Amino acid sequence: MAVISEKSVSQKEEVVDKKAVKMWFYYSFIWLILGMTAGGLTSIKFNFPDFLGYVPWLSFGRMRIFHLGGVAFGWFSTAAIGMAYYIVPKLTGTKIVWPKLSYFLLYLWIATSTIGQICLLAGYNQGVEVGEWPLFIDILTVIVFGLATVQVFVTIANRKQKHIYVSLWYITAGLTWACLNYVVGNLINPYFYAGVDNASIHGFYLHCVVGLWITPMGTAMLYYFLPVITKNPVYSHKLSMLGFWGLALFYPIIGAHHYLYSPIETWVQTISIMSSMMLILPVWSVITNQVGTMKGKWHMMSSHIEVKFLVLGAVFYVITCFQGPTQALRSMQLIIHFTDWVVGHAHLAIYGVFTLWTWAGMYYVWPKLTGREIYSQKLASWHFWLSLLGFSIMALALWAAGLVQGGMLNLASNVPFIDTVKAISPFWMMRSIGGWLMIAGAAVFVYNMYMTAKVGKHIEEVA
Amino acid sequence: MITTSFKGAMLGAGFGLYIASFIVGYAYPAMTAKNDVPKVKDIHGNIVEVRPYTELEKRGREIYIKEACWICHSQFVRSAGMDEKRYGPVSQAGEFAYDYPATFGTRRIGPDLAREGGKRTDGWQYGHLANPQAMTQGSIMPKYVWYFEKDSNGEPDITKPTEDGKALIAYLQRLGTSIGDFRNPEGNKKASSVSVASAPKFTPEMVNSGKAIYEANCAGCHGINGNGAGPAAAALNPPPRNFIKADYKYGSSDVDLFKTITNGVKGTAMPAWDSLTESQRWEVIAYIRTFEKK
Repeated sequence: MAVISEKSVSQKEEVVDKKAVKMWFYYSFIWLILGMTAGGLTSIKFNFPDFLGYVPWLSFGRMRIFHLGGVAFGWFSTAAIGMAYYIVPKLTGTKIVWPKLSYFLLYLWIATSTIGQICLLAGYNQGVEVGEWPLFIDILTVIVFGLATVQVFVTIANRKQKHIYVSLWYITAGLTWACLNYVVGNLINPYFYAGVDNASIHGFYLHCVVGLWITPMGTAMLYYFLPVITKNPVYSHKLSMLGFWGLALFYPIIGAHHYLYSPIETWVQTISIMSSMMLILPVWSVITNQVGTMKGKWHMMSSHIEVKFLVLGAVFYVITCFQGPTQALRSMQLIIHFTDWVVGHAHLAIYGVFTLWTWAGMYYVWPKLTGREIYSQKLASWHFWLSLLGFSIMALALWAAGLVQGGMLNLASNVPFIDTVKAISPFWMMRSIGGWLMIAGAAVFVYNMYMTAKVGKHIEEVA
Repeated sequence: MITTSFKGAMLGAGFGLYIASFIVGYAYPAMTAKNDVPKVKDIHGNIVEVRPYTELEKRGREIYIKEACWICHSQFVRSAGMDEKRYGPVSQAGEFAYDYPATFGTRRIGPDLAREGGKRTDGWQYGHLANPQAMTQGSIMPKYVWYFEKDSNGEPDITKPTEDGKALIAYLQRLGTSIGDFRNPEGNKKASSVSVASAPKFTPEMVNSGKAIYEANCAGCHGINGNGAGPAAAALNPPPRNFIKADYKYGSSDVDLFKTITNGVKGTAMPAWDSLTESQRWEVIAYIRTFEKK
């Protein structure tokens, strides 16, 4: 079967449209910084509600959804499509079909996401968490995702390699799911389902964005970069397939766990909890594969920044995916739902796992795209440690805040709400500090990438 | 060409499992559960019709969505934990039948608003919207000053909310009221349940702790100096009591004040302060007494 190895990855870099991938990455950097900075600024408002004055565009609610749109769609989705434009040719041994489309889609996506984000600040959002962009932006988004999906499918149909490696499974499925799910969550649900049904389907949509778009694209990167960087074949192809099918089977139905104890039918809630629990299966198969693939190569953690990020991301993946299922349980939800615990969990997945893996891939791909060595390994190291330190502070603060507030609110009825706000205020301060360290890390990364492209040593000279 | 098994698999995984999950877990219950029937069980146990939003309430809901209020305020009372004691009767499906999209929310940075309607007067809500910190010391809610006309000093005039501001408060006052007035199920007939014979003797310590409670909870309306002219006072009709003049409406003994604080005053912005313990209420009274002109 298709075990990734030297042979199954095309060694010819010219199959990749380097310029296109580079441009997609550059655009993702912009939203990495803008999205994270918006989050950092918003977090200050928890301790200083008058911060940034009384400007509607900079008010808490609008900035908060701008943050989410910026990091989930502006940063991660852009970077993931860029990665697909790199990984798919490498694994199929053929160029992406319709090369001009890659550029056209980028320009369309720049217009779509930028206008979408501005709309949020201007007060035009459709009231759907993780699907805030207004309807006309949603239609454009579906067009971008849809065309990219068709492009990838046709490229795979034209492939030179016989085998279809697991990363391609994840990328094709992820793109397909993203299109379907975006239509369901943004074009159908808000306008055709009311109230409780709407909330239920919203939970479905919201978690599918994470589980059937961000997760498969991130996992595709892990499965591609880890063997290629360590030069070890993937430990088990069968396990990788188990993980893929486990994800496809259990993930879509877990959404109702966002609204436990609500008027949504109890059996729907129960199925969602059970499925959430079953997700441990695909996750552990990915992790087993990851650890197996690292066999004999653990020392690379000290010398390769890419491996550092991949391994740290995998550690966070284990935590997220143990946390996720257990926090879906009713007894746990009673306390931690509606609190910062869940916010910490969301950041653990999107930042701690998938953003870290994306960075790992970028550290590996960027020199190939630019023909230059990474400008500074020292800065890359700063990036890593700032991210780890900042995120550890932030995550621990959020989880602690969640337990404190959840306990105060749900174990006694006579604690005034405002007392819980005062109680977790110091944790919010910690969260801001951690968050700004993370932003500093990301800024160092973007600077390093920019300098690499500009003044990094040419790889030929080095060799 | 793509191998048949891969095509089949992509069809199965990409479309099949996703759509099957959607149908089984979400579309099928949506079709069968009749969650979209606008009927609820009211506080007396009768099935009653939920009326559609008025034009004003609809506009208010748009503002609620526009400002992403739903990011910080959830809108359903869970059937577990302390939700019912804290916010009111558990939410029913019919109450949300007109909500496109639902604004259930997933985080309570502020309190749940599912039963907010009728909890406070419009005036209180305006005062709070313009300056939440004045009403609740330590609140982190933004000041939504752009929903008010500006007065001559350029400050928001809480007696002059904009049309959008009025709409937003109309929407808030509608929330959770379809089941009837659960805060006052017997109408006004029920007599006060407060039975205290006499006030404790006030000590300087009580005055001290009363001051902190007063400034956190009462100063927004009654003023930091007790003159009845706190930041929200202008929007309140009838106006908040002036403790310096001490011309009380429902009796001026300490026990009378205790009853007023405990029950609130119907038809005014004065809520029932059952969130304060009895000794805290006495401490506040001890402090309020220090305002009076000797």
